[in-house]
Amino acid sequence: MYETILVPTDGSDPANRAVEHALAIAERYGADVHALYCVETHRYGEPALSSAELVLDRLEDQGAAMLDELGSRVDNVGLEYGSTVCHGRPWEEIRETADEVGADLIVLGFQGQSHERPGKIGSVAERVVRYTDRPVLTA
Amino acid sequence: MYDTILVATDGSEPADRAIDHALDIASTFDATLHALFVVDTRRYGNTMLEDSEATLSDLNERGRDVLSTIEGEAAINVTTELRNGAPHEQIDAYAREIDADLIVLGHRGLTSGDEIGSTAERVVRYAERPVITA
Repeated sequence: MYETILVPTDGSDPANRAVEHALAIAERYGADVHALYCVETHRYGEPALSSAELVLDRLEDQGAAMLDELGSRVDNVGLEYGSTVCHGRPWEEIRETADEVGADLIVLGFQGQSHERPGKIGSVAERVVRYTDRPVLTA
Repeated sequence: MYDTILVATDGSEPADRAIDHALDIASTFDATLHALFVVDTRRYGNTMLEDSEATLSDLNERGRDVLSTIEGEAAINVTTELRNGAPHEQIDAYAREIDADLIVLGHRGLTSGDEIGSTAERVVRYAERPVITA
């Protein structure tokens, strides 16, 4: 049923929960795992200012490190792993990456880092569920 | 990871896809599967009108058919449940009763076009449980 699972993460608690679901499902199905971290440039802007550029660089480094860590976990259980770090609007990047890797399941946190109201779905999760024509697990 | 899975159906095509996913996941994880059909009484009302009563009894009949087909075709044991009410509320309530650790439902049901259905959206939004929209 599932051959390629896409798990977008921003390192938040719900995203970490989603990662656990993604790994559990991938392991049972022997599915490939593709992880995605998106630097939200619509939030921070593609900067001309060097200080903002530093912030983006740092986010990108943190994201890449997080994806590497996830990669070793996936390696340990003997599954194929791929990852993407990108800039842009998360839900758009998620949709594009899902198309590229042919994801048959997207697993993502109910809400991410920038969300302030507990118990309410985040805008990224909502948009992915709404606009992606693929099965989506919100965890 | 998954012990109790709830799949909600209204007999539509996306709901059938959801059932395929739910059956596959339930057998892969050796989980208990519950299938729920909700007759949407918001739409047709719980009224004294004879017509409406007949419609509701038709819909309940349809619900029983849909559920017994699932039961009959599934290779695993499926517990079925038929309810009347607002679908998202009934799905949430039943998920609580059985303490479902995963809800699976169609991206859109009988009454929406290309966009995600309002039931799917409300379940994702308000049920504090993992949900797959298939």
